[in-house]
Amino acid sequence: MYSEILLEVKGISKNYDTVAALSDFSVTVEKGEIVGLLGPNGAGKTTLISILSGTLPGFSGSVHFHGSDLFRDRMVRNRIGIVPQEMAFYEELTAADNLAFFGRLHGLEGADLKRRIAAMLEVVELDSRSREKVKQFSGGMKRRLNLAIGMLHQPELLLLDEPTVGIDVQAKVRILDIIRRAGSEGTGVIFTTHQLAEVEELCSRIVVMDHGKVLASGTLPELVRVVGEKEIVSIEGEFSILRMQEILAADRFYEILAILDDRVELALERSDMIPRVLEILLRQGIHVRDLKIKSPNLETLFLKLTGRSLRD
Amino acid sequence: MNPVWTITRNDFHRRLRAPAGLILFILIPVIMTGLIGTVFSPKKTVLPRIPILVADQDGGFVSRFLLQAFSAGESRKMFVVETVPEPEGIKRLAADRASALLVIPEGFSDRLLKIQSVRLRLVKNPSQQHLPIIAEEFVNTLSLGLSAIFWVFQDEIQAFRPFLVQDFSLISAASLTPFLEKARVKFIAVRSLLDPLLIDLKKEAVKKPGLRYRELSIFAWLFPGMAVMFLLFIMQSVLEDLLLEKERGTLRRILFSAIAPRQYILGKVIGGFLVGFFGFWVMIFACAFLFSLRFARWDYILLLVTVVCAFAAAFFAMTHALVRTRRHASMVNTPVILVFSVLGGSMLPIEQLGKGMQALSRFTPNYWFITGTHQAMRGTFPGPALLVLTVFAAVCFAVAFFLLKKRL
Repeated sequence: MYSEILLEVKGISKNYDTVAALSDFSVTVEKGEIVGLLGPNGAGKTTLISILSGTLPGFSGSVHFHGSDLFRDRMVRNRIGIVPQEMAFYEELTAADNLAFFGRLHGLEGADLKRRIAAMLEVVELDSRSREKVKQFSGGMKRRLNLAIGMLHQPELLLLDEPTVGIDVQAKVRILDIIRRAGSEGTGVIFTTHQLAEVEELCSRIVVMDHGKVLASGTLPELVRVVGEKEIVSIEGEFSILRMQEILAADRFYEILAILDDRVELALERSDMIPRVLEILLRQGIHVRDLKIKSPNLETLFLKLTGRSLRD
Repeated sequence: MNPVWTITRNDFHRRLRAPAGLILFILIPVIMTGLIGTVFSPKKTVLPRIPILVADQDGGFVSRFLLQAFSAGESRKMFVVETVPEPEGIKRLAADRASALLVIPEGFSDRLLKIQSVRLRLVKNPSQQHLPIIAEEFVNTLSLGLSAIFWVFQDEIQAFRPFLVQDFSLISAASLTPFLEKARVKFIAVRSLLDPLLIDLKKEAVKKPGLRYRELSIFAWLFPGMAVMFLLFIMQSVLEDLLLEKERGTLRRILFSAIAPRQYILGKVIGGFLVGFFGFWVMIFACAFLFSLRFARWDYILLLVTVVCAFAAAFFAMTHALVRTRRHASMVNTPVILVFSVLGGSMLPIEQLGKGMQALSRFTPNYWFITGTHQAMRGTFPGPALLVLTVFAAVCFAVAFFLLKKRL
């Protein structure tokens, strides 16, 4: 489906003192591909975006865009758009002023600049508010402007660092829609988030990462297959992790995905195995509060790979 | 468009879009110059009349003469004299209701008429600084004059003394004639000695040939110090952007374009320079209009403003390159501006500082700008000020450029 490689990140490692923020991290992005970097806080997503945007020195590895070294050839950067997690614009200026400034930095000028500003304002639905100072905007409008600035110069690659953080559902839907449209028009996208639903809905390829490492990579169905064609049972109750580990270690007709504070997730070959699991727990005096049967999804994959929930 | 100019233009544009801070920093020095200048303006100065108490324990001919001297001619504008008993006078001094108490002792006139030495007592109010000193000087002068008169006319006074203390109806013209003739001769002799005076005092100010000399008003003295102090505050807030852009994330976005860090640094410093330059000229024109400031050489002022703005932009680029957060920056910059202003003559005249402090003032931009502006106002080329400020600016810019380039 995708043929042209836009970005190739190879073996990136970055340490903060003795802590490894990224370790031998590699990823590629092809034309029109939306790659979701999924991981909890501290997984290394923002570190990767900071390295890619050239503001975090002191790392090893290489980054190439269309075969050119991203950090040696500055002109290459005009073909990439960045949308940081912060609202990276000037609140004292209007939306149009902000777009004009960042557009000029990317080499847009005159009628071309005006045309692009008008088009982008329409895309992010801010055309009616373009002459208002940004400080009067709502959180969702600011997020859309943040995205518009990154997309103004029609980049071939977009780096999005949690672009939907802290906004309401409606605004989130609008932003995801804009990103999806950009992808369908051929823009490659790297999208970091810890929202499973966003990744499932938007990304053509998902990279699951934690502690700076790639745990798994592939399309959603590919990743779900890692868990297997199994029934996922989530049991909630009152128990200690150690006690539950002891109980479940005795019998292994199930796969333990994760044992959390008040929840245990197991993968079973068939749903008729559920009564056997319950029987074991009740025999050991475990008070079961709730039981849910789910299909394998990204969350179960993440639990399987890391032993912890994304929300942790 | 050149990326440097894009950064510069954006900074300038942002200040104009949110001008409150800039307007405040421009208004404050203009208002302060106006207020301080008006309060201390020589034209408006009306000194208070000095309240003097006199305890006249003598009540004689000479003491009455002394009292009249306080309320005659120009002295009347300077003093308010009231005769009181000595204890009452002391009480009033203690209550800070008079500047000095002159005690004329009993027998004062009689002893003087006998050409014997006498002592006047002047009790000063310790809670007042200058007014008692003026009273003291005046009494000293009177004492000197009286002493001279009594010494010169001692023979005549001796002859007149019985008449002065007795009833004038008993005095016959015939008995006075020989003494009047002697006095007349002495008057003529004294007048021939004093008229014309051998020494004449002519008051004038220094003039340099070929230059348009101007006497500086108090506003002209105050304005450069105030203006340069607030220029530093303006520049501090403008160059704070170097840290603010990092915190906001705009720096990352800017640097993720084709712009090189050196272009960004240059754009920010030039942007700061332009904002300061613009603000400074608004201050100059406002003060020139409001306080009738006259500049003999506008071209010299233009040069001075250019170099001082360049210095301020480079200096605050350097300080912001040395710290990590805006909080640290304001902890460093505000005290530095205040020290520059105190040592450099923005807050008080340099002449009032100690010698060591005066030597240190040479290391402040305020000193060089103030002295340079005063020279330019008079039409003198402010060469040393221009040279020193240019060197300061170049050094600060080099350090700032090196540090920022390393950190971006």
